[in-house]
Amino acid sequence: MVPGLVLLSALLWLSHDLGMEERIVLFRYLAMAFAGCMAFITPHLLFPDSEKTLILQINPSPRRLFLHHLVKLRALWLYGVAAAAVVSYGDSTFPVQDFHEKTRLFATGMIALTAIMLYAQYRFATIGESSQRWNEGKSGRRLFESLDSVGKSTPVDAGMFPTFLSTILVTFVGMMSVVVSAAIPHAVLAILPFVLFLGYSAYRLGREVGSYDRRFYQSDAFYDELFTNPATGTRESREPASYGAIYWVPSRWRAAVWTQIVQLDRKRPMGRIIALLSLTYWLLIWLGTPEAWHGGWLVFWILAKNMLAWPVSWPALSPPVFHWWMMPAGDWMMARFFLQTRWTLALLLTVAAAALFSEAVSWQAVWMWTLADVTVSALSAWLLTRNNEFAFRRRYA
Amino acid sequence: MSEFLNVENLSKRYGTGPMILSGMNHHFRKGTATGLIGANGSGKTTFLRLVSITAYPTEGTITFLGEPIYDAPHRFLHHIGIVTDATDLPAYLSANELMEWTLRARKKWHDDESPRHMDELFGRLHFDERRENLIGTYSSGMLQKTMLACSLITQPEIILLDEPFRALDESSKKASLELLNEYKSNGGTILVSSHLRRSLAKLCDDYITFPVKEGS
Repeated sequence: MVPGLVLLSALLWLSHDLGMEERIVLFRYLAMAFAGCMAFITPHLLFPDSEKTLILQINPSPRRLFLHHLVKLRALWLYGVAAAAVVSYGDSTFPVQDFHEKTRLFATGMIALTAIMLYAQYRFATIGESSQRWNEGKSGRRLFESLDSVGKSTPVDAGMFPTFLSTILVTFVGMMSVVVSAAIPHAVLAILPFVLFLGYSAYRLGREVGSYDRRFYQSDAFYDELFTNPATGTRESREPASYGAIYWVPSRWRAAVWTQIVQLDRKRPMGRIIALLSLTYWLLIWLGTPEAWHGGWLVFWILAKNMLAWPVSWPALSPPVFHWWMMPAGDWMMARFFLQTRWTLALLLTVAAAALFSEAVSWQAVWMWTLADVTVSALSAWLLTRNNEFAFRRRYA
Repeated sequence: MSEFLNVENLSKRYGTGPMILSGMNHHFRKGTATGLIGANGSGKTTFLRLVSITAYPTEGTITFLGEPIYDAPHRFLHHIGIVTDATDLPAYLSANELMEWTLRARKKWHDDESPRHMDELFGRLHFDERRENLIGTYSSGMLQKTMLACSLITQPEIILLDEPFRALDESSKKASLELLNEYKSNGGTILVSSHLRRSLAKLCDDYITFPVKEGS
């Protein structure tokens, strides 16, 4: 609730004196950030279901299970819609000027965000069967044999391939709908790509409702194995980080940060992912893409970096009772903050290198993006700890 | 082959790790109790997860009345009761409310009879007035009684129990065994995993020893 209100306030501050054209541009950034956010957060919101025992007990119908998933995503969608309302109507200078255009922008926002949410739900709710096939080596065997034959290994667990593919697809399709809409000169027709996207997402998801129980249980079983069973974690192809490598963290939190990093690196090849994100950014700069593209990519970079670290709040990695015994919840929040800022220097260097060699990026932008990352890291640390240690403290302590 | 609950060539591995179950075949008869026994990590819990559709097999399938259970989980789960060492029950409900919800959700609630059945069942399980307290305050033994009561009251055709006696005191254990034997004599089928062999002996007609040899 609090981070959402902070973000909405920041958006209001950004948009209160903007003209209509600038509002439309800000909305496009918002829609792209929402697509990136949904692409990463949806599997974590949906699976493994924290109420599984209860669900098995009351045995909801396929339609109820579908609604259960929809409700889980609803809060994020509502924040998105509230943000679209702020961008559209948050005008302190001329509140009623361009009212029709503002309403059209808000309606476009609702359609776009709903389409992205339904598409993300469709992709991730139906992912169980193919993921299990990849996880057990029944699919993708040729790919791994080819990689083995040239002495390469994959940085991630095979079962994660469909998830990565869906993450990229949701981000790409969501962002492309924004780009296509932006390319349409007629203001009314610009809504069309989102309407088509919404129709497609609703159609695909609607076809699954009748057998949603099969999709639900299989996807949940897969993610339950993936997220909680160390046997399906990333193959340990590299040494875990040593305690000495965490020298930059104050000693009070160093041990906690170290245990979180070691565990996270076993679930996610963070270093390689960060390298890939930075290389792609430089490629976008080198290709001379518009600011919306490489700026959008940095939004994605920051969201991805922070959200990929979310497994550290799962009970499998951070058992609440054990954590409670180790140190207070506030200290865990600080530890998570340092964990999240581990790659802030990499972001700073990535943007600084772009500023050094290209005029497309200003030095002011270097500090702006760094500050954005530190802010998101702090929010993310608070959220992760709130859902784990603080929740435990509220309930039992 | 009878069509009640059949395990057909069932195999399960996690990721590309070793096989936990390999080519398992078994036919569970109606009105019997089968004990799942074996060392830690031998596959008992994995097997129960497969039957409760919280895991999916690598190969093979399980059929209930001739239909693969993974094709229509909702239909199969309607016939199932599950007792695990759950820690994720809703903390702000009482056991009574959870049971009422279970019955209503499964369309088995009757205004006149259900409250009486609930009282009777809780009474037989020696679950005193603390069942009116919130679940978040329960001990592990009370949680297990809650799960067992919720499963039994829906009168399922099959009950899956994973270590159901572990947290129970002697009198509750005795009461649970009595209830389960009664359930079995009324035609219910039980699959129970436990290390407490003496308790199992008072309930089970048949045993499966894990790890299961391929094809057995």
